[in-house]
Amino acid sequence: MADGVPLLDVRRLTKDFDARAGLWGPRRTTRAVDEVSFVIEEGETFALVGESGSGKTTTGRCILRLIEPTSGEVWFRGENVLAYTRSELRRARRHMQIVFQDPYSSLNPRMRVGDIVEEPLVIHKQGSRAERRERVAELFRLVGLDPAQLDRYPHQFSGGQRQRIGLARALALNPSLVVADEPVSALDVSVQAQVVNLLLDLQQQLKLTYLFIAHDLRLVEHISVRVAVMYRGRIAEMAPTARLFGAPQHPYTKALLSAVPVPDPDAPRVRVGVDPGWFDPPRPLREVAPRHWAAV
Amino acid sequence: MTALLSVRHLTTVFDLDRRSVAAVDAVSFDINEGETLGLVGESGSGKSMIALSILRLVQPPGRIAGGSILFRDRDLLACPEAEMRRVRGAEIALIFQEPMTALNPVFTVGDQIAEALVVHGATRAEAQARALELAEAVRLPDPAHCLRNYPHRLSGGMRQRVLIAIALACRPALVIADEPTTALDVTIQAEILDLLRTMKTRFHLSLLLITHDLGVIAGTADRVAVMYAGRIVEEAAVRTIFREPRHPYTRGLLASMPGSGPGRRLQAIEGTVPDIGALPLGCAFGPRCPDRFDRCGSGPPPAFEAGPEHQVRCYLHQPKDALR
Repeated sequence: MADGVPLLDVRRLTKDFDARAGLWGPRRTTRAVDEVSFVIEEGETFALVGESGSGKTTTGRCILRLIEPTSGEVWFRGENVLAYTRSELRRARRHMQIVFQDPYSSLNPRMRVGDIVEEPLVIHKQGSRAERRERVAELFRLVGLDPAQLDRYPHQFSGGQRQRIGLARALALNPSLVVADEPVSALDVSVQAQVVNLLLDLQQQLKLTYLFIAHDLRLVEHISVRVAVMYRGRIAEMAPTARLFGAPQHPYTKALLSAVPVPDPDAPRVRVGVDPGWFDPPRPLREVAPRHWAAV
Repeated sequence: MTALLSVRHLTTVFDLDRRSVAAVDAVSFDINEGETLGLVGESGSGKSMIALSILRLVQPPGRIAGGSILFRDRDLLACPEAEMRRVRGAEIALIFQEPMTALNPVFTVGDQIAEALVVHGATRAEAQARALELAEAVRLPDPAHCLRNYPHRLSGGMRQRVLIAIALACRPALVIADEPTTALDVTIQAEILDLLRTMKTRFHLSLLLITHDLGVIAGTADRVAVMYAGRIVEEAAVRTIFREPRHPYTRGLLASMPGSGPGRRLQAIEGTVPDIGALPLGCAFGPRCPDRFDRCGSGPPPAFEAGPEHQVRCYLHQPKDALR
């Protein structure tokens, strides 16, 4: 960015969850996100990858304050999101939106899809009813849906179409940052590529910045500019995409890459196992090469 | 090689109010001894219905409407239910997709492995001893301790190992694995696929591996059958499928994978998977096919030879002399 302020600056973000072991068991605190820091520049696609329980989804939700982080800072365009009052947060949400993984449960089944996409415009008091309906039709065309279907219900659409509806809703208020949490993993293989292409087209057209949360490394390699690999709440390694896939430094990144099934029967298969000892004790990230950080 | 399993013209339908729709439409394939056949398809393609049909576990409104399933020289679709009960587990075993729900939460892991053996005639003591052997074979960490645990104490990967142990308990000849790694993390998936490969060699198994993931298929299968809308549209050796795919759907699937082509845009297949109740006339893939021509609407294409041991249901591969 021209003035040197990144679009999003996450510093030492931490989230603890309290849980009881059984009904009467002792209270225990689980640290889901542990001092995670990263910066996303305007127009970039930054990916958080990791396996289940790595904290990638919790990180995304803490940034939008869909859940409240325990500590840390989230700076969006130079303002501290965690210091916002409720009304300031609501205003800021216009600029930061989320697309969820499951297009089957993230759309209200009792609402017409046109109303689902219009809802954020109503909440943020945008325009007259007629102007809003025109905007909804425009959003439908933008994501490749036919505005003639505005009065239908979610169940009348396929998974790929529902994900387009979720995207139209997220884009209604012209956000600059979109957190895409596993946006294609619930879709059929042949439909995934359509939605990925749509995400790429929209990014160019609308100058969007993506925080892309995913477990599919092949997809992450394809779509993102920089990648952070998470394990048990911490970033193990963070680098420009080509660097991370070409010259991984952390043993966990190497293990993860070696486990990806390659669609080639003759590809060499040398698998590296995961050793939790790599993370005990936790090591701080250090810059092993320009813009390449690893907890080694 | 002799075929252990020969499926011929298998048709499994769903009875709706006024009509029946075919989830599996006249499907034929063989699995040879010691071979892994990969069955690839998207949701609704009928691949899981094939697994249930082989074991005769199709539930209403589903129903096997025709065909034959020859296994060790008898037709499973014609044999009495009592004999089918002996076949299930003892000769053909099934591994499910969901390791979280396929185990009974109120019995220990050891009891559930032993139960499979007791049902097929072992004594309790024999079953307990064999359960421990199996737990070691599937590399459960600290097997004796693991067997005394309840399923909720185990991780997803460990539960899948338990399910594999149960499947192997009675030394079946054929194991059907329906999306065995789909619910697992990628590092655990790699371990389970390694285990399946090892078990296959050690116990001389034949394997029917059902998955939507071409990456999983590439590393595990010997032969591949690609399904679309209830039919096998292409079948060939694994190398042939990946190096010389002939059906436009197979080509489209391979090309749509991230990293398979240059540029940032992916090569998407247009449209969506059709509803089996409303299939287009002619080739079911026709409306999405980049290569369709007038003949595609004329009727479902029969299987044409595209090479040795390579069949493809696509009019592009109809021999020229058959056109007249």
